[in-house]
Amino acid sequence: MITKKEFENIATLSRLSTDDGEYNRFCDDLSRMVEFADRIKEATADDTAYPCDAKVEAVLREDKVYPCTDREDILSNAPCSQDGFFLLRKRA
Amino acid sequence: MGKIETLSSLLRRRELSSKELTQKYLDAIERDNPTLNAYVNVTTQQALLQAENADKLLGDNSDKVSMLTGIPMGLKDNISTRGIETTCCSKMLKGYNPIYDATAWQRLREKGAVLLGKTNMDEFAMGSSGDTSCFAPAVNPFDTSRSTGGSSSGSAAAVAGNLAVFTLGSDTGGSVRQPASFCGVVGLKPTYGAVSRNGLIAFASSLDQIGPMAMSIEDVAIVFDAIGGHDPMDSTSKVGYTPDTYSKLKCDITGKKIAVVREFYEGVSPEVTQMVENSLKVFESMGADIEYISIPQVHFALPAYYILACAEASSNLARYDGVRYGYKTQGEYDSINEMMSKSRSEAFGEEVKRRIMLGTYVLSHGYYDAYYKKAQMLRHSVTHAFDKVFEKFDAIITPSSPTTAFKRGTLLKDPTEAYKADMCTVPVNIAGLPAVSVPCGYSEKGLPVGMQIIAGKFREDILLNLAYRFQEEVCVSRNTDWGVSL
Repeated sequence: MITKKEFENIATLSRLSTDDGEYNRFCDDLSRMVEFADRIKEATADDTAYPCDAKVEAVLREDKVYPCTDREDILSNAPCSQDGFFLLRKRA
Repeated sequence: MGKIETLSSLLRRRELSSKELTQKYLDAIERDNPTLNAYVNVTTQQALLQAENADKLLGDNSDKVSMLTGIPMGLKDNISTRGIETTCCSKMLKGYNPIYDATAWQRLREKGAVLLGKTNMDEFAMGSSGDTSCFAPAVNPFDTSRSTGGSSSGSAAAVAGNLAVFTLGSDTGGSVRQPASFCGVVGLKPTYGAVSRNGLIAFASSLDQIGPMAMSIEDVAIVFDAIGGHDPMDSTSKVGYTPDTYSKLKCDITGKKIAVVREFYEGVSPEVTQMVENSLKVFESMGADIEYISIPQVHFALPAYYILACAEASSNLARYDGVRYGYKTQGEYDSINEMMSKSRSEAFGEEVKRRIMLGTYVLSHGYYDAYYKKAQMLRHSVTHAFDKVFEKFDAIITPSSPTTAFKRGTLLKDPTEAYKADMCTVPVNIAGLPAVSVPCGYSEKGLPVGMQIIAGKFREDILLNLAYRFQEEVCVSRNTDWGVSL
């Protein structure tokens, strides 16, 4: 069972907030999901005996200059923008 | 002959114009979509303009004409379309207009396909029923009291309801195949890396793939050949790869070796099991060899998937913070963090929030090794096991889903019960393999049953060849009374 402290920590890390009414429901749901995920604890060393044998290679592109995306386009979906920048109001 | 080839032939002979055809579909959508909710955004003006352009190309006998020129289609609403709202059926992205086209859509647009609109889905592709959409959920054209499955709910409903010739969906844990099974259509999940993810709004980046849905294997093959292949904008797309499945559909399947993996049948309803076993006899009668085998690692695929997918979702959805795009809270806040938390909490639905939190939990200090790292090791183990099977066999056949379509709203009651709906499809995503769901029969209640065929990596040619020969032999597909009748 997820404790209230654990839940609050996860919510903070996730940048999510719940009111008191939702807390119990979310905590129950999350506990059940963790129990579901706990099934992997039944896996033995034999079940995980195969290391990844895929080659890990960085996929790079040519070192060429390509046209940049237009600044106006990038800002077109911003909730707040000003003078060509994303705008965040100053808070104490 | 599939619908695409038939319609293409009529369009080239000018017996029908793309504008007339598109108008038929738009009229049908206006009539039937209020019930089926397959589309969340109908792009009428753009569709008619694209149809006119297609007619010009067809009239000029241009060398740009392909089989897809003038063919009306739908796109799942997590596939970016420049200047056309793309919401992932979430309050978070209402009003969001992408500034570029997804590569898969761009390739279809360049071939002259006509976009009718954006189709309904579970929010951010998280769901197996269509119920988590922020809009009214899509309904199953075979029985409107039942779910379409998800998350490509609207894409499946649009094809089954004859409101599009074909659609594109996306599949992370079964989201093309399971709704295809529920709605009696064909749905392909390509090999990971076969189709560019550029422009697909991410859920789990190591699992997501765009896949076509249509009534026939020929149509799915035509669309897959058009959208697949390397894309420099997606570093996970396979270099040097170009699909060619349509030309190989009619190959003889005598001697093909098909495996039946026992673990995929555990927990499957007797009716579905019987339909799939009947289908195996059809393959035997066509000269294929069937052998029963076991892959015990499959038991861990479902919990491993949910750990990995939720971990990736937690990371991918961190970008929705109310700053650069998407919903921003109108309430008061004292800090940037509080603004972000409020924006996200007000805009994301419950299932999305649950999965983000599970993902954060399994990645957090003290739990990373026990969950995420172990799930990755199990993933390698499952992948290795499948690779060994495909050294000996050409394909594996399983049910696409443990049940037929359930009643709408059933899966909302318990989130973890809902995850079991994915038990047949998820192992395929974990291993990065291609798989197709093909209708193989109907239940006593007249509900479609889907059979899943899985092949080795980048062997969509084998997959679709087997599926095509099955469809030719058995002719299972039924039409619904909705939409356009051709």
